Parts: sequence; structure tokens; C-alpha cells
Amino acid sequence: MPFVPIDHLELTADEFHELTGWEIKPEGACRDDRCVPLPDLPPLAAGARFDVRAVAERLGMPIAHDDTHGLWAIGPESGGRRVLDRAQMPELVLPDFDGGAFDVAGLRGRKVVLIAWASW
Amino acid sequence: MTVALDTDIEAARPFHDAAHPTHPSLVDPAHVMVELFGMTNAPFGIWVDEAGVIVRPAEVAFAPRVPREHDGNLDTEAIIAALPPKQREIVEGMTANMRDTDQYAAAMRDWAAKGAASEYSLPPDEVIERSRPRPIEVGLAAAHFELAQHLHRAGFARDAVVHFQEAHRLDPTNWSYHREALSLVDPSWGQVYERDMLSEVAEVGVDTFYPPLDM
Repeated sequence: MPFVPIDHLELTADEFHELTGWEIKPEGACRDDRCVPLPDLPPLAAGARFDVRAVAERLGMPIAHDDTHGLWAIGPESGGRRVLDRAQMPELVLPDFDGGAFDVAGLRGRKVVLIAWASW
Repeated sequence: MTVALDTDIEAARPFHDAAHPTHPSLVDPAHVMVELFGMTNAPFGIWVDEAGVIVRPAEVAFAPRVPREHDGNLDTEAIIAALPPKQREIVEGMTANMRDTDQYAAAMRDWAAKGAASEYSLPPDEVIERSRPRPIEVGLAAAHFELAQHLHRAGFARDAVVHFQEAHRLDPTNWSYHREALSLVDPSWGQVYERDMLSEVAEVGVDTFYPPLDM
């Protein structure tokens, strides 16, 4: 997921998918093998926009706002749950120090110890 | 593999260059791993088996100590011993769980040798159960931290401060937010947080800084 704040709250289904990983389908918001019904969201025509707040609330994704710059950031699914909802390693692509992108899935088939460190 | 939790890649680069890593050495400028795995400080680690299944969730992951004369590190014990009594008590509490730095590496070697038969390899249900709880406040803190980082990178560093503060207020035991903010905010702007770091740790709980390993 891009982890980029947005400057408007009306998103298309494609934008919402890119931002959160959730697909808007006729049966609701779906990700992996899970779908959450969205009874208050009318059927969307292709490219139509919807107010992200109602869907985010339904998914337990809190939204932070910056008044000065007119920005919003959508937080991860939260409330009565844990950080991991499955033990399968999620998709993780991170930059290396030379500007390349490294997909951790490329290490499949080997044991991986992932150590987070920091300069601070 | 190692991943630097640094908003500014250049802050991490000297350490990367000095280490000459032969393993994948990456950077997580957006702190994606804090959200994905619940890493609340550094160093934290997770283990992933050959099938891509996490067999230990995020936990404190110190490497064994190298004798000081070999790595040029500061003599932290002497520094701690020289602190005023109150500060020394807090720092000793914060670092109590990093005294046995061999424990994590020993467990890791056991898993490397035995795989799923290792006593340290956890089944999926336990991995999930041991991962960090995420109430709404913690999710909202992540959103504020995202705003703060975005504003910082976009050149609005002063405007980022209020979101760093809000992230810490909402998720006070997540020291990765707090420590990253302290490294990014110019001290000449005044104090980022109401209290200094040690007082804040004492208030929130010294054992939240490096939570004890449950091996």
C-alpha cells in the first residue's frame, strides 16, 4: 500500500483499492477471502466516486485530517483486533539503499529473519 | 534481512555502508512495518518460514553484544552509571530487557536448525494472538504519523509536529513514532513533547520501551 495522504475524500473504487488494498465489489468491500457488506453504499458505475468516510468507518479504518494543508490519511483496520489477522506474510516491497525495490516474497523457499533497526 | 525504520534514508546510510551487508538491506521510510507487524521500537524482528508464514511475530530482537574494543561502541554501562540516580533508575528499567542479548540469537539458531520442530517456532494462531492489539486509537495514531511524515518530506516540517504529537498521544507505547519524531524535529523549535524522553518513558511505563521477550 502506498501510505500516501489524500487531498479529497471522494475516491473511485480503483483509487480506494490502490490506497487500502480493499476492492469495492457488488457484495461489499473485499480483500483476500473476506468481504464486508456495505449496505449504505449504492451500486457504483465505473469510475464513479464515493465518500470514503462511510466505507472506512465500516472497515474500522480511522481517518486523520490536516486542516492547514487539506489532507487526510486513512489508518489501518483497527478496533477489537490485532495487527496480524493471519500468519501469512503480507505483501512487502521496500526500497534498498541504491533506490531499487525489493520484494520480500522473492525470499520464499528460505527461512527469513527480518530485523528492523533505525538510526534514531 | 535488515530494514531501517528511517523516514530519511540518508540518516540510515552511514550505518548501512559501514556494515557492508551481504544480506538484503532495505529501508522502510513510511514505517509500513510498524502498521503491518506492530514494531514499536528498534531493534524488532519477525521470523518467516520457507512457505512465507510468520512463525514469530514482532518482538525485541537484540543481536549479541560484541566486546566494545571490537565495535567502537560507546561504553553505555559507564554512561548509565554516571547518570543522576532518578535518570539512572529509568534507564535501567528501560534497558532491563536487553541485558541478555544472546537469547534471541540462540533461539533463532535453534529455529534455523530445527525449523517447525523448534520450540521457538509458533503456530499461526499463537502468532496472531501474540501480535500487537490495534484498538481504534492505535489505528488513528498510524494515520497521524502518516500525515506527519508526508508533511515533513514535503517541506512542511513544522506543520508535521502536531501530528507527531497526536500519534504519540494516541499510541504512547509505540516508541518508534516518538523516537523518529525526536530525530526529525529541529530542537530550536522547542520541545516536541511535553516531557523529556526519560520522563515520558517513566510515565508510560519503562517496560513498554523494550517489552520482555516471551521465549
